[in-house]
Amino acid sequence: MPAPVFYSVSPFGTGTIETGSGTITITDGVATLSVAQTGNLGCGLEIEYNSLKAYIVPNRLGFDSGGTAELLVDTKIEGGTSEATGIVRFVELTSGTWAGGDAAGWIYFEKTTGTFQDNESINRTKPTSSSNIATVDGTIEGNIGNGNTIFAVKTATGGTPANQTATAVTSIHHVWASLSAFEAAFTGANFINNTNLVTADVVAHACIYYDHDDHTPDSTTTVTNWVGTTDATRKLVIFTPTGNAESINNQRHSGKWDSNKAYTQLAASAQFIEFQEAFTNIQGLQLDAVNTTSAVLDVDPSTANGEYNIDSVICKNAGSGTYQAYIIVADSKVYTINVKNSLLDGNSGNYGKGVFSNQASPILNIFHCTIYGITGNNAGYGIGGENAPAITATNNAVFSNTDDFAGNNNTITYCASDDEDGTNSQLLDSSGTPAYDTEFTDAAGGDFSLPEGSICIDNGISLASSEGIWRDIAGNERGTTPDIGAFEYVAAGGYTLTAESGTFNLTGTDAALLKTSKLAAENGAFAVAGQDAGLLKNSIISAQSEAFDITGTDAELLRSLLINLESGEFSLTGSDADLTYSGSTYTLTADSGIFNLTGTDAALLKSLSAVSASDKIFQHPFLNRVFARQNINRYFLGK
Amino acid sequence: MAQLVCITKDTEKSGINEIDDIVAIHDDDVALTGTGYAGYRVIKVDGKTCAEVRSILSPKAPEQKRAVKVTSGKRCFMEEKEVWKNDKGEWCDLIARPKYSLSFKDVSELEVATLGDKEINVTAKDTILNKVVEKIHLDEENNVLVSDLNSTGEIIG
Repeated sequence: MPAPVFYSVSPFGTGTIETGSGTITITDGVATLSVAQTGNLGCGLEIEYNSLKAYIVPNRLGFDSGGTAELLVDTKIEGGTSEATGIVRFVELTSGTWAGGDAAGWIYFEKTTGTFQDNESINRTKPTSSSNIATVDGTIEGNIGNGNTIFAVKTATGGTPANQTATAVTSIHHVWASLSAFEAAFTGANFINNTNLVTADVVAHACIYYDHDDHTPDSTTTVTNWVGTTDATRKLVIFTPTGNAESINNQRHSGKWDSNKAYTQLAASAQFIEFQEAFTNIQGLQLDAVNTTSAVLDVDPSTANGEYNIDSVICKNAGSGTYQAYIIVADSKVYTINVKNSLLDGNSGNYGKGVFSNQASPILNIFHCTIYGITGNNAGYGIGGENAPAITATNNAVFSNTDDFAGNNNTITYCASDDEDGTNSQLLDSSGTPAYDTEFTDAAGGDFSLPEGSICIDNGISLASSEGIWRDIAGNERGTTPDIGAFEYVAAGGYTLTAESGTFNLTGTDAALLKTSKLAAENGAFAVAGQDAGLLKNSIISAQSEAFDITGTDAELLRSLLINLESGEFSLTGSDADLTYSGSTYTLTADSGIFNLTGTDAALLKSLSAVSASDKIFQHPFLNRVFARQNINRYFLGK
Repeated sequence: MAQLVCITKDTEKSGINEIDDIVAIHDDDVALTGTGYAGYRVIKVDGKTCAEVRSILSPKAPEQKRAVKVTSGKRCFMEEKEVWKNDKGEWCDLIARPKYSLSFKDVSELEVATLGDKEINVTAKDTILNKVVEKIHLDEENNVLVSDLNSTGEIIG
C-alpha cells in the first residue's frame, strides 16, 4: 500500500513564496495557515516551520467501506447524493483491500466540483461507470483553489507530520529549480532515503511548476536512471499540476504550446528522459528540443516487463540532430510504452522521427496523438518502425510528414493521415490556406484543435473501457465516438468569462464583453503579459490574477471598440491630437507630443475611423489595412 | 552571477555520477537553498551570467553523431550506434555516456573560491572555467576507435 510523496520543481528557485508571515497549525496531517496564500504554489511545495518540514499534497477525501472495483488514478468519481465530482490523482490505501471489499484510505484529487458529503456512496463515472465503489469518510481536506489556507500535508517519506499549534512559518518554497536536481537528490537522505521505491513503498511525484517570476524554462540536463527500483504500483510520476485541487494556478498547457506554462528547454546534448527504471509516467509536460541533438524521450529500460506512460505531452523544435526522434524505443527487452493525447510538432532532422521503434519485443501503443511535420530526409517518419516492432496506433492524426506511417507490423486503425493508412482510416484535406485549414485550427501555427467540420470529428473509436482514455490533451471529456487526434472538438459557445480562483471583479459603468473584438499589433514586439493571461477562442482576453498588460508597438484592440463614459472624469491622452472634419468623416489623429481628450461624458461621435498614436502609421479598422501616415485622408479600397 | 550545482557525497551514486559533476547552471536570481540543495555544492561565479558560463562550457562537448550500417544476410537489419570525435579527429565508439558530461574535478578549492571573488577579473575566471573537464574521453570504453567505419559503415551527419 504505497504512500504518495510530492516534491515540487520550479525554475523560479527555492526562495520563499509565502504570502505574509503567518503561523501553521497541523492536526492529523492537515495544515491550517493563518494567512491565505496567493502565490504560485500547491502540491509538492515545502513548508518550513520550527526546523521541521511538511510537503503539500493535493486536496484529499477519506473513504472506507470500499467495494471490490478498485478506484484507479485518472478516473472521475461522483458523490451518490451530492453529485460532487472529482478526478483522481492518486489513491492511498491505509487499510483493507479492494478485493476484500474493505478498502479504506485517501483519494487525492486533481480537480473537484461541488461538496462531497460524509457517508455518501462514491460512484465512478469515467472512463466507465461503476456504482458504490466506496463510501466517503469525512469531508475534503485541503482548500487549494478555494481559499488556500488549508493544505493536506505529508512528510518527505509520505508519513503524517507531527501536530503543531500556531507555529511560525519559516518559508514556503519549491524544493528544486530543475528536474535534473530533483532526480539526483529525491532519493537521498532528506527525502525518500531509499533508491528502491518498492522498499520505500512510495509513489514519487515530481510536480513541475512554471517560473512565475519571468517564465524562465527549466534548462535541464538529461534525466535518466537513479539506479532505482520501481514496480507497477511504486513508481516515479512527473507531471504538471492543473490548478483547482492541486495548485492555486494551472501549470499545464491547454494543448497548444504555452511558454507561460511549465516547460523544459533541453540543454545541449540532453535527452529529457532516458527511461530506465521499469515504471515511469510523465504527464502534461512541454519539451522544447531546440538546443539538443539527442532523442527527447528515449525508452531504454534496465529491466524487462516495465511500463511507461507518456500522456498529454507537447514536443517541438527537434531537427538539429541526425536520427533525432521525439520518442524512441530502442532496447530489445519486453516492455510496454503507452503514448496518448500527445502532440509531436515538427522535426526536420536527417533521419528524424516522431515515434520510432526498432525492436521487435517492446509493445508500443500510440493513442489519440497528433504528429505533424516530421519532414527530414532519409526518414521523416511520423510513426515508424524497423525490425518488426509491435506498434498499435489508434485514433491518431499523423500528417504532413515525409511518411506518416513507416515500417511493418504496425496495426493502424481509426487514424487520419495524408494517404489513409490503416483500416477505418480518414483522409485529411491538405488544401486550403493555410494547409489543412478545414481539419485543424492552425496546424502550421501549432494549434491542432479541431474546427467545425473536421474529418477527425466523431471518426475515432472509444478507448475508454479498453485503455481508460476519456479525456483529451486539454482535459476535455471525449465523446462515446471520440475524435481522432489529441483534441476533442469543442463546439463554440457564447462568451465565457471565468476566474479559476481568487477574487474576480468586472466593474465599470456599462461594462460589457463585446463580440468581434480583435487583438492586433501592426509591427514590433507584442506581448500579452500577466499570470495566465490569454487570448482565447471567441476573443476572450483573460488574466487569472496579478498584473495584466498589453504591450508592444502599435498594439491595439481593434474593431467595434467603443469609447464610452456615462459620467465621471474621463481622459484620452496621446501626441498632437487633432480632430479633423472632411466631408462627413471625423478623424482623430496624433503625430507626436502631448494629446488629451478629457471631460465628463466625453464621446467621440460619427464615422470615427481610428485612433492611433503612431508616428508613422495609421491602421484603418474596417479596411484592415495599414497606411503610411502621409497617406491618410485618401481613398483606398478595402481588401 | 552564475551558479553551478554540483554533486557531493550526499548525491553521489556509484557507477552513475561522481562528486563535482555539474548538474545544473542558473543565474543568481534563482535561489538554490533549503533541503533540496543540501546534497549539492553550489559554486558561484561572480561577474558572469549563466549564459556566459554556458558559452564557455558547452564547446567542451566533443562532436557526437549516430552511425548506422545495414547488416547483410538473409534478413537485412539496420544497426545504429553513437560515436564521438576525439581531439585527434578520430571517431570512437560512445559506449558509456556519462550522466553528467562536465565536472569540476580538476578545479581546486582555491580556484573555486576565486570564481566567487568579485575582486578577481573575469579573464582569470574564464581560465578557471576552462579547467572544467568534459567526461566522455575519461572512460576507457569510449576510447576505442570505430574499426569498421570506412569499410562497411558510414557516418551519417
